[in-house]
Amino acid sequence: MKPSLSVTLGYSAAMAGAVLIGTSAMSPAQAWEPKRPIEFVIQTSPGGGSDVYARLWIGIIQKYNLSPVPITPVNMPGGGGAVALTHLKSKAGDPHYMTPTLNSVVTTPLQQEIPVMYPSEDLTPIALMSIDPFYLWTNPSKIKTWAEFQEKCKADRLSSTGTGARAEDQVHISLLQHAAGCKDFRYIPAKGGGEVASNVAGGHQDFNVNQPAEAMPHYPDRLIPILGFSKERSTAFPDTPTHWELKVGTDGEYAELMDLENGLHQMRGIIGPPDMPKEAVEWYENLWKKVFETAEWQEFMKNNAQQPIFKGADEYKKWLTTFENNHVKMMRDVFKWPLRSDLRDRNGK
Amino acid sequence: MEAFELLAVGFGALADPARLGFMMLGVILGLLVGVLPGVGGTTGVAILLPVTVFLEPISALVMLAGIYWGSMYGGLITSILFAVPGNPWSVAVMFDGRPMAKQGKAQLAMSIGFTVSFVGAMIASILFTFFAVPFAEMALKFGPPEMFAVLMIAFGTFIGMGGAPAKALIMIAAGFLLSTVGLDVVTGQPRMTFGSIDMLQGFHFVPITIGLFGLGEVLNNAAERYKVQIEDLTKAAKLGLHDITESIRLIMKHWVLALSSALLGFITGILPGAGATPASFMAYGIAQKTSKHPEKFGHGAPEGVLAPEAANNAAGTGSILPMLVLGIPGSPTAAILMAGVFMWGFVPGPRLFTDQPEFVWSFIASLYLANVAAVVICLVATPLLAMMLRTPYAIMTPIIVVLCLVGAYAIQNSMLDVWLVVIFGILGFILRRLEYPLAPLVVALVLGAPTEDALRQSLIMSDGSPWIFLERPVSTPIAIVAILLFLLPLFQMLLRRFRRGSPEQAPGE
Repeated sequence: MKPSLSVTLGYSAAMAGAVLIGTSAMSPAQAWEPKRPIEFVIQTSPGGGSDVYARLWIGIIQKYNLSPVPITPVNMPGGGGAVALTHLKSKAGDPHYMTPTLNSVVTTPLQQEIPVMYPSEDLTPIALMSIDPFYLWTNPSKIKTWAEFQEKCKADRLSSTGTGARAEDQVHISLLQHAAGCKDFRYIPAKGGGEVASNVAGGHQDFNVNQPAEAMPHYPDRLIPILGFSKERSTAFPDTPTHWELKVGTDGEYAELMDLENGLHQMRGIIGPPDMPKEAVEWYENLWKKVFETAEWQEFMKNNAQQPIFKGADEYKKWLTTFENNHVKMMRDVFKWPLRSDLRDRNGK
Repeated sequence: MEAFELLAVGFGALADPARLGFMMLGVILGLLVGVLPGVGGTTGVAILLPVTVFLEPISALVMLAGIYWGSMYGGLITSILFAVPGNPWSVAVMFDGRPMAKQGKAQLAMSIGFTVSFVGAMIASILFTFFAVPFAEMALKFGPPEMFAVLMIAFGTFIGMGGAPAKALIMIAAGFLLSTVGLDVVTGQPRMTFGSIDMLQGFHFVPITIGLFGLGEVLNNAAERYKVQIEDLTKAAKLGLHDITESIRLIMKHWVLALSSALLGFITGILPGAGATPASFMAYGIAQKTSKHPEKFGHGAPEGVLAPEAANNAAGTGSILPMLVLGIPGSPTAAILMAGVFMWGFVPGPRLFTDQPEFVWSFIASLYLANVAAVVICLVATPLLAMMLRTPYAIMTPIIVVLCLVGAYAIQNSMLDVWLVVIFGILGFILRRLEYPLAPLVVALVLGAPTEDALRQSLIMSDGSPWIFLERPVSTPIAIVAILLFLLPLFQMLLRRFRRGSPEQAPGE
C-alpha cells in the first residue's frame, strides 16, 4: 500500500553506514547525550508551516520519553527563515539546537545575504522525516482536468497564487510554466497556505500548487488536484494523474529539475548547527528514526498524503546538495531571478 | 431545529467531568497568559499544543479552545490599568479605557469591558451555531480586492480622529513607513533593512505599541510626579456590585452600538486575514463617528471601551469559523488550533461537521460554557485587579517595565523587539509631550501591511488597473462605502460652511 520500500532501503543504508563507522568508535557514540534542554528553532510563527510539525514531534518525543532532556520550541519567524538560520549558524559546534525544515531553508539563503548559503554545507543535515508532495489544485467549476488546464494556459495568462514570493510555491509554479509551455502566469503572493487555498476555492485565482493539507477542507467541491508532482499516484488521490504519467516536463530540458528524486515536494526534515560532533549526529539520527517509526507520525503522514521517506544524516546531506544545486539552476538560470551577489559556485554549476 | 439537537450533543460531550475540567483549566490559563503583554493566547495555545498527542481529542480541543476564549478577556486588563496592551486587539480599548482608569473609573472600565466581551462573544456564538456554513461561503467571496475595500473602510472610520490634522497625518505616514520594513511579500526582496538580518523580520507592531503606550506612559507618569497615582488612590476605593450593575446599564443604554460592534467584529473575524485587531479599530472608529459626543472619545468615553471589546471578542469567535469550515485560520491562534485539528487526524471543512459531529459541536458548546466561566471569573476578580492601581508607583513601575520587555521578547524571541520597546518608549514620551496623537501611528502600522498586500495583489490580478475595485460584485459596494467615508469630512465641512452662511445658526461644535 504505502511506498515503504524506499523507507526500508533508506533506513538500511543509513544504518549500514552508521554501523560501519560505529564499530570503531562504539563507546563514545554511546556516551553522547544532550546535557541541557534542546532548543527547537522554528522558522515560522506559532501555527505556521513547520511549527505544526515541530510541536507534533515534541509531543511524540515526550509521549514515548525518547529524550532525556526537554525539547523547547522557540519561534523565530521573519525573513523567510533568515533569522532562524542565522541563529542556528551562530551555534556552531553546540548540538543543543535544531530546526525543522521546509524548502525555504534552501530558497531563502540563495537570495538573502545571510551567513548560511548552502544548508547542506553550512549547517548539519540530520534527518529527513517525510516528503510532502505538491499537487496542482484548481476550482472544478473553472478547470477540471490537466488537458483543460494546458489548453487554457496556452491561450491566456492564468492567475496563480502561493505563499510568499520567490519561495517554494512560486518556484514550482514558475517551473510548471516553463515545463508545460504556458503563457506567463500571474503570480499573486499571499501570506499563508489557507489564504492561498481559499483564493482558488473562491474563484479569485485560477490555480495553485500546494500540499494536500491546506486544500483538503475544500476538496472535492471547490478544489480538486488535477496533477500530482510525483512518480507514483498517491493512495489519497488515486484518480489524479502524475506529471510522470503525463510527461509534463519529464523528457525535455527541465527533466532533471522536475524530478528532484521524488517530484516536487516540501521537505520535512531536521537540520542542526554546523560542526556537530559525530556522536551527537548519531544520537539525533537515532532519535528521529524512533520518532519516524511511531504510530502517531505514520498516521499523520498517511492522513496528509505524504510519502513516508526517512533519510539519515549522510543520505539527507547528499540529497539536500542535489536539491540545492537544482534550485540554483532553476532560480538563476531558468527563471532569471536575482540570487545573492556573493553566491558560491559549486561543481562548476 | 437540527442545530439545537446537535448543540445538545455538544453539551452532552462536555458533561464529562474530565473534559469540563480541562476546559476550565484552559480558561484560567488563558486569562493568565492574556494578561501578559505580548504573550497572549497565541503563545498559550502553542505551548500546550503538544498535549494533543496525550489527551483524547475532545478534552484537548476544549482545553486549547478554553485558553483562546480566556485570553480574549485577559488582554484588556493591562490595557486599561497600565496602558500596556495585553494583545494586539486590546490596543483600541486602551484609547478610552486608560483615561477612565486615570479618572478613577478603572473598575467600571474593566466591568464594561468584561461584560460587553461576553455579550460580543455570545452574539458571535449564536451566529456561529446556526449559520456557520453560509458565513463561511460568504468569506470565500472575499479576494484581495474585497479585502482592500474592507481595509479602506477601516481607515475611513479613523479619518478626523483626534489631534491636529497635520500631526495626525505625520503619525499615519510614520506608521506606514514602519510597516514597510522587512521582507517584501510581493517581491521577496528586503526593504529598508539596511543589510541587517534582524530587520528582515520587519517591525512587529506589538513591541512598538508596548513601547509607545506602555513604556511611554511610565515615563510620562514619572515626569508628572505621581499626580495620576494620587488621583487613582482617592477614587478607586469603592468595592462591590455597583460597577457591574452600572456597566450593564451602560451596555443596555448603548445596546445598538454593542450589537452592531459585535456583528461588525464577527464578520471581520470571518474574513480571511483580517481578524480581531482591525475589527476592534473599526468598531472604535464607528463608535466615535456615530456618537453624539465624539469629542469625549480619547478622554474616557465608556463607548470607547464598549465598542472595541464587543467587536474583538466577536471577531475572535468569528475567526474560528473559517478555520473549522474552510481550513483558513482567521487569526494566529486559530492557526494553532487548526494544527491541533490536523494532529488529531481530522481535516477541517464542511465534512468535519457531518463526519465528526461530536468533535465540532463540543467545540461550539465550549464557546458558551467557556465564555460564561471567563466572564464570571473576570468580574469577580475586577476589584482585586483594580487594587493593583493602589500599589505604589515605585513598586508597580519596575514590574510594568519588566513585563513590557519580557512580553516584547516573547513575541518572536528577538532582541530587536526589546530594543524597539525601549526606543519607541522614549519616542512615545517625547511625542506625547509634543501632543502628537499616537493612535493614528498604531492604526497605520497595524493595517498598513495587510492593506499594501491587498492593494498590490489586486493590481497584479488586474494587470495594474485600479478599476478592479469597482468591477467586482462584492468589492464594488464596499469600495463605494469606503470612498464615501473618505469624503464625509469634506461634506461635513461644506455643510458647516453652508450653515455658517445662514444667519441664525451657529456651528454646533
